[in-house]
Amino acid sequence: MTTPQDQLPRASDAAPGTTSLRGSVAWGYVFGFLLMLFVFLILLPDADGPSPWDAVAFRKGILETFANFRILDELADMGIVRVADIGEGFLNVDLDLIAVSNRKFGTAPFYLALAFISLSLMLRGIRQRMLASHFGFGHGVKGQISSYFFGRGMNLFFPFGPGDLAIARTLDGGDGTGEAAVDVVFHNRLFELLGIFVVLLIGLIYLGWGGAITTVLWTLLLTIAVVSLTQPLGWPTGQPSRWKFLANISAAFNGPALMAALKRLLASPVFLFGILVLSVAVLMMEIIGYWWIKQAFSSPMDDYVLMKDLAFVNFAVVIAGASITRILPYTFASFGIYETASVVMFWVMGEGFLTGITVTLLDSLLLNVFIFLFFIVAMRVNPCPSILETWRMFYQRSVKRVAA
Amino acid sequence: MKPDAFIPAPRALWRGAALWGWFAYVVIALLAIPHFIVQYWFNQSLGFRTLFWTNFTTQAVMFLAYGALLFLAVWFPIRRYGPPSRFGGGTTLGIWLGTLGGWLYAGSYQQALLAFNGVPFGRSDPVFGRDIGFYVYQLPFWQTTLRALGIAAGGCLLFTVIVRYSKRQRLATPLAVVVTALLGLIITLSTYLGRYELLLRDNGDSGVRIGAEYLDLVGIVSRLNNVLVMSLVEAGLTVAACVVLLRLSRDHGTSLRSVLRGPVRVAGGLLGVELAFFLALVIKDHVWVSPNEPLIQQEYIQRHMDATLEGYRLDRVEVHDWEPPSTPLTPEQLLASRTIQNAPYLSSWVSYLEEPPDVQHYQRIALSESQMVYGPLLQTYDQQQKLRPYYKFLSVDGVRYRVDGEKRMFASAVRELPSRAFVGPQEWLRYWGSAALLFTHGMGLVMSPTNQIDETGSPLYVSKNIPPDITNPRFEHEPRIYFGEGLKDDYVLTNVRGLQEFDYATEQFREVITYPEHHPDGIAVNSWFRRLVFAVYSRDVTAFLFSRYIDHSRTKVHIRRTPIARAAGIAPFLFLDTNPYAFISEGRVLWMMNGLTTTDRYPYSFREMLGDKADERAVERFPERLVNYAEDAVKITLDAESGEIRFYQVTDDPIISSWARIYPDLFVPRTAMPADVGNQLTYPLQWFHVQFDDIYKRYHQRHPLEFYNVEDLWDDADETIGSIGRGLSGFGTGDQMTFSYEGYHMLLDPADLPAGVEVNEGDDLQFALLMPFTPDGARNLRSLIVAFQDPGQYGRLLSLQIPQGTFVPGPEQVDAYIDNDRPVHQQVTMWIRHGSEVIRGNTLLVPVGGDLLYVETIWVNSLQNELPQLKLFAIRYHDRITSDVTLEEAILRRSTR
Repeated sequence: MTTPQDQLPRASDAAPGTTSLRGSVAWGYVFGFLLMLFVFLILLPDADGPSPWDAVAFRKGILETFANFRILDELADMGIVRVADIGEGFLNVDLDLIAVSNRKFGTAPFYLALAFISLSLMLRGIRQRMLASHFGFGHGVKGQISSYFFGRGMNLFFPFGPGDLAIARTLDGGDGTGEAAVDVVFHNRLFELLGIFVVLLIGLIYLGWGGAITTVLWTLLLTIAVVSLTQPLGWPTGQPSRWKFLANISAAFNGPALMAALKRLLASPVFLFGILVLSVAVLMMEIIGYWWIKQAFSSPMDDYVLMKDLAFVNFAVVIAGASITRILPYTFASFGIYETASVVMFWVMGEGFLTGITVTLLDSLLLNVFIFLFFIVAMRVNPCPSILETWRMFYQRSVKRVAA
Repeated sequence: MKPDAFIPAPRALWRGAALWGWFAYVVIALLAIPHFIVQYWFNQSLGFRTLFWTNFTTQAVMFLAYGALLFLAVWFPIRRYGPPSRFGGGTTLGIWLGTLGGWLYAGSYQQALLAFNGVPFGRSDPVFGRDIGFYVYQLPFWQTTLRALGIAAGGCLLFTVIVRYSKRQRLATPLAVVVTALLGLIITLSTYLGRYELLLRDNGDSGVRIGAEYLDLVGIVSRLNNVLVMSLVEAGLTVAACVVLLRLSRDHGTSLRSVLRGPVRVAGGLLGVELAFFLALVIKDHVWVSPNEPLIQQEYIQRHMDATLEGYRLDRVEVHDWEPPSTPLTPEQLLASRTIQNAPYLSSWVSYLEEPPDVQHYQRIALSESQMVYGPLLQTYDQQQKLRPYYKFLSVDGVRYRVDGEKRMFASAVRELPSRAFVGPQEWLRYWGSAALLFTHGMGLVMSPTNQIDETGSPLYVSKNIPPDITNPRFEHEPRIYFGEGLKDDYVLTNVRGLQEFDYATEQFREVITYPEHHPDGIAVNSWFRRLVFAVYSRDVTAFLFSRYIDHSRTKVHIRRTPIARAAGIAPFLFLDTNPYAFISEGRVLWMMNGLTTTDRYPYSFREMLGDKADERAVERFPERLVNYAEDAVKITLDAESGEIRFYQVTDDPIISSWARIYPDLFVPRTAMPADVGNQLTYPLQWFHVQFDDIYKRYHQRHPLEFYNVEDLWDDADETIGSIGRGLSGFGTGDQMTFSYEGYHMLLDPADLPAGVEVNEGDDLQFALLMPFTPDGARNLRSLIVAFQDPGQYGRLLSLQIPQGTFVPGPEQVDAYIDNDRPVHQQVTMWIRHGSEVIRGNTLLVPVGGDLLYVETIWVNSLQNELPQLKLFAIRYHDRITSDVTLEEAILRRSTR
């Protein structure tokens, strides 16, 4: 047992009674990497390998992913890998993988992907502007759009979603507690969720009963999984039971508040319909952007098409289903959670883990690079609050809330 | 309530993570347990139950011992210093990490078994005088165990620090002192054991490629002494760290600086000593060693060369000078040679690109999905003897039988019915019932002599059609093939309720059959528990749980139906040469596999990768293995119908003797091997390749200076092979390529070997494995390696070496001569102009009367379908090329001008 003399006096100690959330923050980072390890160590290795822990299978999976990314030959040029035992490098790569890496890269679809992804992000900014306008922020279009990208940028680097506070602070210019600013943030999330819901609904109707039932079950299972991980976020003052899945999902997504907001919005149906259409369009553009990036890294001339047998509707359903995980803030940039969910959804649709991981990583990479660029631009064109100060404020607010 | 993102308390996050952690734990356990149970049933069904229990008890002891230790390492610090609210979490984390650690540690059970049962090699290393067995058996196990203990001690220390730090308490506790001392001791011991690693060290480009060299051993300033200094420094640092922790845990008033002052000085001094020693080593290397190489290293180079030759069993190669006579034999004398009469021009193997392919073959990979370069007999068998859509020939192998008192060589292929996992969802395998209950077996061997063709250039079959039509009673066999190379990752159920298996197609319908119940193979599915286990194991849940075909009183499931999977499932410690071949023994079809014992820890011996090579490439891959010692120790037979498997121990190599001591019921002694089986032994191809193409080509140089200067490096000879063109439009498509030789089989008359080679087996033909070599960077012939394979001579290795200053053309040069020969050129061009595909076959090197004759075959293929026919023989003998439609006529043409 410890004695009072064991206590080391430290200047940085928190006051008695306060809670330290440093462990949670660290976990927010570690957990993302653990999930990625799960993807790379368990899911990715060649299924024909002797075991998931087999070094050869692991290496093959990783190298094949690099080959699919078209960077394996570049790694060979740089002397990082060596080809068929020739040259310098840390890993020996089979020549057929270099052939995979040398496949033609689709420049046109790549540019289309860039255009669609950037457009979908821009439209999200515009949606924020429309919401801000609706909730009474009359001026400063630039600031209202920038606030969105500043928030997304914050979420790119910090876990548990400090972006919401960053948006609110940018909008109201204060500590982010203004009612209107909070409303804007809340409704932005609401419409993101509604957009996903509509796309999923259309997709599932198209798939028909047989195709939809498995997809719905898996989407639900994934949502339950993510919610059970992030349950505390939805139940600030405790939780009813970990086995009440639907109640937990509702709580995690602020179900009652969402329904109440939806009822209020029905009072202005034109506005509701307009933003809803915009939200669906935004999500569809993102999905189409991902589709193009998949096509860019396919090569019909070499008879290699990523996810050859996957119809666009199924692809859209996968992306929409996986996007649900992005609504619940946990790891930074939903790192690990989104990727795992997306890979599993692709697997449900009959795609192998290797292609699932390739496409998912390409999607994430592209989206996050764009968010980062918009984040930089947003900070340049509009005065935004200090990043660290916003994070500190978010942390302290969380400490108070958890202590309460 | 508005959305309000916030950071939850760690405890709340832990609950979610723990829930999923337990979920994953239970799922993994539930999925893993059936594999253990099935492994037990599998061993039991084949009569190897004790082997299972040996493995299982060893693994269980290791799992429990290390799992418990790791659990304590995690749980105890939390329990001792953490708040009661974290006790549950500590237990959870302890169980997870303990299970994972125990499982990983139990994975090294083979090391543990060898460490405690290893049979000494009877040879000592030249530095420490320890038996080689110490390096092969004990050292790896103790290193693994020390590493595991280090992880446990490090984990305990880490959790102590985390728990104490999270409570803002002093890190120094009695537990931390004890664990630090243990960790230091483990690190010191590991470093000290590292002195033995000097003998296994890879020295990169040094003349002593592996093992201790001059700098390692000679003088006070040596790497060996550096290991000692490092051990002492680590011990000193451990003491210093313990002193600091002890003082901190006892004295609460003293400042940290005063506590640290003394120990830090000591630690600094120790590190200074180590650094100074290291710098002295570097200076010695640059000033004394490097400028005096190779003379100073001669003794160590010699040790490395000797150890490598021992490790690769090349110290027993017999070297013979071979200078072909200047006077040629007459055509009649050539035709009288039994080696020529039996020349296997219908090559009984298939040439594939190497795996991984060479850079020079990149273009081919980019253009074609197939990696097969040359396999005419496989294509011919497929065209003429496949007969039904569901059958397939996966490889052609060379075997020999004594027919009418004369040894003869035959090409042999198994007509298999490959599994869904192998050929994909074909029409006849689309449904579970078809794949698992109906199409259960292939049908018969197809065989033809390798030295006979009919008038169209096609093989003459001695076993053909369905059911087998056999020309000689010697080849009568049970034709049903339940176990074969194409039956990957699949299972079948036999003796099911109300359904018989498809046997073969009759004139207009089909025959059915029921698998004989008396055969030992197959696991009885005689209870709901077994059905449940197989449902999880096979992932065919609904089929196993709900199929009414399964009859508890007699249904059996047959798993691991490929020879490699079956052998590896019983004896995973063996390296399996992945070239199983089938032959007939007492009316039954048996698969033969070569099993090798290996290690990569033979002191001073060079390491190479043992694995799949180009020719006879495996239908089923086996993981490559890094080796520097191996022995062709086990011959494995598998009955293609009954699944019975036998492991024959054919040498007394120390490693296989150790395994025989561990598993006393596994091996059958060579003396109990049936004569039919003994007559079909072959030398392991992949081992042969590594021995000669990777090692002997350099290590045949026996003087250290010659070796150091690489004065006589060899290269495996190349030949030009493959399609020359497909009609005019496809002429010169690049399919024809330079391709390295692998070992090829041939029946040799001892009388045809160079003078001085004694065989002592009377005039009996010898089934041998041959491989030619050229000097590196040149194309003339330098050596022909011969490995004998028949009883009495099995494993005898010859190197027939052309004197360095004598020109004898190599195969690639002979290919060029034949290319430029006018009659051959005209004939080939004519075929191509008329729209046929012309394929250049293997170039055989045939020793005859102490001389050498080359035979090259030219095949013609229709563009409409793949049916290659042997249409032309070109021979090269004593500077003259002749060609004709048969080998005899080509030879007889020598008598005309």
